Formats: sequence, C-alpha cells, structure tokens
Amino acid sequence: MTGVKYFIISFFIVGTLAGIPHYFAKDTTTETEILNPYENLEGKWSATFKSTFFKGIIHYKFNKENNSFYITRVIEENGTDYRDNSLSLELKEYNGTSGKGIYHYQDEKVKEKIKCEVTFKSPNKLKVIYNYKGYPITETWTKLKQ
Amino acid sequence: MENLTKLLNWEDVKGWFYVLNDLSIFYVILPFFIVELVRYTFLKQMSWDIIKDSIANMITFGAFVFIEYALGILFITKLYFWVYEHISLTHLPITWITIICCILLADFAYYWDHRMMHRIGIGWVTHTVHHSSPHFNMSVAYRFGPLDAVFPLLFSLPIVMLGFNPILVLFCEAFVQVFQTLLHTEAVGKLIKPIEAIFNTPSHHRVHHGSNRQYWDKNYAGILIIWDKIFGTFEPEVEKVVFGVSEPINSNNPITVFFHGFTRFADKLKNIKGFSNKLKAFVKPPDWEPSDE
Ligand SMILES: [Zn+2]
Repeated sequence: MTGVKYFIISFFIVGTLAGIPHYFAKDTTTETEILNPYENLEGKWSATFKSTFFKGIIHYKFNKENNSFYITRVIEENGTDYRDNSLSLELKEYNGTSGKGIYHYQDEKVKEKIKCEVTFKSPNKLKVIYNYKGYPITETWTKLKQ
Repeated sequence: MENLTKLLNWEDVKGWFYVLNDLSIFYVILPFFIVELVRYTFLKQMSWDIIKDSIANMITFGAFVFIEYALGILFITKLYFWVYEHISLTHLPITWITIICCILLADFAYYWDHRMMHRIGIGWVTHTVHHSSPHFNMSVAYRFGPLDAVFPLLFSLPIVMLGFNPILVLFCEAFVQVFQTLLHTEAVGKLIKPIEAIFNTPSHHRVHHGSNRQYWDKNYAGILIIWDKIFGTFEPEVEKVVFGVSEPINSNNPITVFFHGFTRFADKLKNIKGFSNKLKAFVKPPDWEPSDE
C-alpha cells in the first residue's frame, strides 16, 4: 500500500513542479512579445510616391512615445525640399510583424483620417497599404541609414 | 513575480552554472578539503590511510569520467535532444521559475534514483563504491562507481519530456551533485534547526554514509531532506557514525575499490542457484538471498 501512496505523492510533486513553470510560461511569452514589438520600426524611413496626388520622396521618423511616424522631410520630384507636418502615421496596434494604423492628414482646409495596414517585410522594408479616394495604394518604405 | 517570469539570456544562464558547477571546485571544494586536512592533522587523525584513500578517490573519479565518455554520454545528450524535439510537452522558456522548478525536479529525481541505486542489486553494484570509504571528507564525494552516471540520466529523461531544456536539466543535475559534494565532511556539525529541517546537511549525509545498522538506506536526499521525510527514509544523526559499507573492502587499491561492486556481485551470482534467482538478484535489494522467499 505504501508503494501506491508514494506513487501518488510523487505524481503530485512532479505535477506541481512541472505545472508551475508551464502555468507561468504564458506570462513569459506575452511579456516578451510586448517587451517592445515597435523596436524594429525605430529610426528613419523613406517612401517614394509616384501617384497622381504626389510625386516625390517623403522621409519619416518613428516616435516611440506615441508609436507614430512623423514627416521629417519632403522632396518633390522637381527637387524642392522642405519640412512638413501635415501627415503622420499613427500605429494603433503592432506585434512586431504586422499591425494597423491611421494616416492623419491635416492642412488649413481639410482634416482626413485613413485606415491603413502595416507589414514589416524585413529590417529595412515596410509595406503600408490603404485606400485613398477609392484607389488601393501600396507604399514601400525603406529604412534610411542614420 | 515579473522578475521570476522574465525571459533570461541563455548565455548568462550558462555562465552562472559554469561558476556554480564547474568553478566551485576551486573556490569552495579544494579550499575546504585543505581545511579538512588541517583539521585531521590538528586532531592527530591524519594517517597514510586517509592520504591513500583520497588518492584512490581521485583515481576512481578519473576512471568514472573515462567510462562515461566511453559509454557515450554524447549519445545520451543526443537522445535528450531527440526527446525534447519529438516527445516533450512544450518547450519551456528559460526563466527563474523554470530554473528553480528544474532544480527541484532534478533533486526529486535524484532522490528516487539514489534510493533505487541502494535498493536494487544492479544499482548497488556501482553505487557501493561511493560508500566504501571508511573516511568522510570532500574527496569521498568524488569516489564514483563505473555506472554511477547511467541511472541518473534515465531518471532525468522524464524531466525533458515535461518541457525542460535538456542542457538545463543536465546543469541542474550537476548542481545537485555539487551541492552534495559540500556535505561530505566531518568538520561541520549540525546546523540551525530550520536548515536541518528542510535541507540535506553534512549531518544528514553522514547518516547516509553510516554502516551502523539504523543508518542503512537512510537519507537519500540531494538538496532537500524533505523527500526522505515524505517517503519514510529519514534518520537523524544520533549515534556516532561509523563510515563505510557493512562488509569493509579494506583496500586503497583504486582498481579494487572501483570494481568491488562487480566482483562481489559476480561472486554472489555464482553462489545463487537457478537462472531465475540469478536474474532476480539484479533487481532485488542487495542484501536479498533466494532463501528469503
Ligand atoms: Zn548513497
């Protein structure tokens, strides 16, 4: 009888000692995911536009505080180079590889919000997809060397 | 709690175990052995027998390491990884909680493995070597039998199946061994009550090495003595411990020491009549005789 008793106690001990790390493993994985999924977005990015609305290059910089990209520089096709803060991309969610966000556009006359999807393709390639005035638009951003 | 569930850097973990397991010989074990030698001298107990015994212990350790390599410990780690990749529940992240539970599981597995080495004929064949010294000091901790590493590896395989990283399991097993190494001493008396109640201590481990009848097959613990208390094998140190096995080997010849379990077992088998009885001798307790049934 003691044999059975010891077996049951052993089973309980092993179950407890193995169960505890399994139980807390959930916390670990989520924690590492949240640890900083935005890290790979940090730095400056460059996007080239060839649409009817705009032709040229826009440089963005990622702001960690509010998970948004802000324009640092606009270079038009004709070479005009200026600063601009009419456009920003705010990420609402992002898990390190993909996420959703909103393009904010604002000038004296209009204020627009456009939903978009962001995909992290590689450490120096980011895809931004959205619909603008009925046109599906895919932007490819490339990482700028600091 | 956050600190306990935080993912740890594996390189750091390897470093910590390297310091605890591998380097401890330099910063605790060897210095402590020197203290023990000074103590023997001071108490006028120093003898050629102690010196020869210590040398034999070192040689058995070398032979033990050699045999484990020859048997293919490398293969064993391959088996561990195969199990980990194919039949383990999950892969646990390396956190403090995982490490602590792995050490406790390795310690628990050690308890049963050690108990089995004492209570099964084939286990005692190899483990008797460790118990055969009439002395008790740090060097005795290194006195190993030829197959002493085989049984622990079998007992820790289930830990890998439960999702613990095989290398972490090996580190934890080694840690249980290193902890115990420090218990092989007569220089430390009983410690404070709470420690004696929870942990395996030099006092508890002296009992384990005792040849006094009431001390036989007691205190199998590695780190925690509570396993012995739970499973009915605890015995406190009361009577002065007489170290060694019940039938002393009276030899410091490393070859005699290293193989005496095998030679004695072979003699026993020769005297046992009947094939099934011979087979039984492998799994029955070492003091079993066919006439017992
Ligand atoms: Zn033992």
